[in-house]
Amino acid sequence: MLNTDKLIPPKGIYKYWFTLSKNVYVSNLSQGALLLYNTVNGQSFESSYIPFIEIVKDIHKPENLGIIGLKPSIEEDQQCWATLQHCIEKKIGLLINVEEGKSKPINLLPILSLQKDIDKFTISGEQDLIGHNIMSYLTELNIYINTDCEQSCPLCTNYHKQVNSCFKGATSTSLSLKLVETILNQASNSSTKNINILGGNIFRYSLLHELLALTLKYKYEYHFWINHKNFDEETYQKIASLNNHTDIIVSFPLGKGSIESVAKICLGNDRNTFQFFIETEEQYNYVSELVETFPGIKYHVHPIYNGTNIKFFEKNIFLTREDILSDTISMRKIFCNQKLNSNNFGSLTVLPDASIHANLNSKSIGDINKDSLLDCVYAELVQNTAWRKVRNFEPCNRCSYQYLCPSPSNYETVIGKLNLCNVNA
Amino acid sequence: MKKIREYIMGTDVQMFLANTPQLTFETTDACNLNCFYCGYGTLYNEYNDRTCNYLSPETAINFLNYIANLWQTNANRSTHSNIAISFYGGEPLMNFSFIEEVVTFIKRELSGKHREFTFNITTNAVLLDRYMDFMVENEFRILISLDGNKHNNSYRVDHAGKESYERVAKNINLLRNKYPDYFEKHVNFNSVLHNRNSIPVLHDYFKQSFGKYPSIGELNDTNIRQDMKEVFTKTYRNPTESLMQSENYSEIELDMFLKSPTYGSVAQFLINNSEFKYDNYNELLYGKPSIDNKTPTGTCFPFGRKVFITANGKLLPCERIGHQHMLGQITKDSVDIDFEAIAKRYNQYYAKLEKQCKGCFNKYGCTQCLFYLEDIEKDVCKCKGFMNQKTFEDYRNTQLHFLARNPEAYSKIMNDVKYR
Repeated sequence: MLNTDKLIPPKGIYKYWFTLSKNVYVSNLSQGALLLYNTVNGQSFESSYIPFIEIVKDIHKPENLGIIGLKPSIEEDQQCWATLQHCIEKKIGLLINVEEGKSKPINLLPILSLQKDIDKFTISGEQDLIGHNIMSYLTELNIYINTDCEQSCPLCTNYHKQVNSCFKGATSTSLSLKLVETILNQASNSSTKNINILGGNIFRYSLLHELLALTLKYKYEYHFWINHKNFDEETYQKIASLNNHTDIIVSFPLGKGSIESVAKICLGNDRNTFQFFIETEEQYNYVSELVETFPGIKYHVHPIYNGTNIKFFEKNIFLTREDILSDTISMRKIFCNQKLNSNNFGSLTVLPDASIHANLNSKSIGDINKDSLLDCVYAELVQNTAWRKVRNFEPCNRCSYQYLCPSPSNYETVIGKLNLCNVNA
Repeated sequence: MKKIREYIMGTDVQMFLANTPQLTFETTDACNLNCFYCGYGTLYNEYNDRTCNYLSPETAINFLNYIANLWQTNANRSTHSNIAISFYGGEPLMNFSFIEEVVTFIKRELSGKHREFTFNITTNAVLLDRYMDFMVENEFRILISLDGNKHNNSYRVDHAGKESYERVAKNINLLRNKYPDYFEKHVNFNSVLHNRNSIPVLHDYFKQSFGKYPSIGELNDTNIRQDMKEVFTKTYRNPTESLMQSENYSEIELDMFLKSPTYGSVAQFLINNSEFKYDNYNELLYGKPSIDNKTPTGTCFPFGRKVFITANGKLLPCERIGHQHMLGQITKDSVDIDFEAIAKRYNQYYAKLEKQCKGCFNKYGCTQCLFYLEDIEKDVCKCKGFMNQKTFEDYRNTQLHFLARNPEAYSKIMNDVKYR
């Protein structure tokens, strides 16, 4: 027979049950201070008061199932009592009066159960479960069709290490049309929607018209990336006429041709986006004025690290506590930050030399001449060169904001600083 | 004519087949036992439905080659992944030459980059002494059907009515003594619960005899012959009630973990309903799919979890589904699967049940297979898994009550349980 007596606490021991909202994320429970963050209302609360930390730790012990009893004496510890009240005000904690004869309530606090967790498969020796149905993870492809370009942009070989961009190779190389078709064909059973076509100067790709014909055969959202210095109206119109997207890169110093004239041609095409690369505030101001003169223009602004503008980054890019908490961060986003890199996950890049990368700052994970995209997705899941790089390294792993922060980006790699923030500066 | 929503398409069905994690061969429908409660025995309408068919290795190899060809196409989305080859019956060891030939073929021709293989068998162990060396050599995972001690097992008799216990126990001990490490790692047990055993008795017997705990199944309660309903009721035992009759039910639950009906039920509840459970990285990154995109009922996609190949070459989505629901036919030189027709058939079933599913309070955690619904082929079909608010609350409270009794179960399930 079911025995429920043991679920009822002995009379008079506890005055309150205390628990945390199931929407609350608790950071750094094992260290000397903790951060409680409500993932629904965005309220947060930090404490280093040891008795309170002990209470939160007890709540998380499996045998307490999210709730602990507080004795009447808790009210005598004024600091602890005030801390508890503060938690309640922020809808982070909940205090319940113990009712005599009633059993202890339970609260199912957040524990991530990721069914296809590669780390867990590896630890349990079930590596044969990693590779099942993994093509669905591939969502984006960047195909560099050539390295040819007649321009000499000063930061040419830096841009693409930071953001989607063209780059000029030391030698002239191009990807054969056959290989491009192989890639498009193999991606058809993945979740890929976007395909970025980049160069070099893609207008110098000798089989560009044949490649455009392939865009009619394989249905994806194609984005053709063109540096404004290489802009050619006739080819642009051909690309646009096939309902493809165009992304016009504008980096500084500007090219001889007027950026305004390019903007005039592209205006009204809602599949066109300007991608501005800026290194200084002056450049930012220039871009701001420019876009104001073209109402309706679609654009993105990307900061570029040039080796000397760290102050610009510190002032405008580095995150503060307020920046991190400015938008409410959902529990899923926090779980996501613990398990994968949302900047990289799902994206593969094929270079003109046929090498395949999960990120252009990482080593190659395959060669499209002999490896399929499926092989490369598997290789990346196992080797983790980029897709699952999270903030589990120093100094982030000592910070309460570790998984509230966005995933590590290319900027951290290029700048050579692993935390682009002022939180623990 | 009203257009039916396309929940799945033919290309999806082909993809499910290309990536299926399990192929189960009914090597024969013949059996050297004549268990009283067998799904093909006197209790059920399908009594005497079996005609001693033996699946030919040529037929199986033809199908294996067909699947292997799919692995070379874009329908394949998996690599380096395991595919379980399972041998089922009847009594599969009655067609041992089939097993030997198929295993040899797979190891020689198919093992490689796209798939690794493991071999499973479900057996009554009557012939285990003859073939155990082969199974050990090929690292079979063996699931032995045994209902407990001599009395508990007494419904498992041969065609002359002689009890099988002595022979089976002797064979199990032979395997255990000859290959102790293998026995420890690769041998498990499966018991049917009825009025001659109970969960506490099964727990004690297997723990003491083999240091293991069995998986426990109930008697099949569908398709019972009208004149046998009283006998069935007398024989049937409910697993949870059987467990709760013991004074030591908590200890049994902890020992048996997911094999205990209560622990297993709460694990299923949490995995299906917890907002903190995600299937894969895409769900973490983009969010869980909307309930509007979920196909009605808890039915597996066709071939999504396994393919069952009957002794006469019929393809079914599972061994627990009636043969009238076949999805294809194979012979030694043909494979007949119409992916579009299968998708259309499933879409018709889904459409029939969609309205009920939308109103069901267990729609997120449904495990109801539509092939278990007796009226599934009729115009109107009532889902027996449907839960209104009250039934769902009762179900939920039962699970939460278990967690209150076993608080550590929550973190253990969330951290350790993988639902396949």
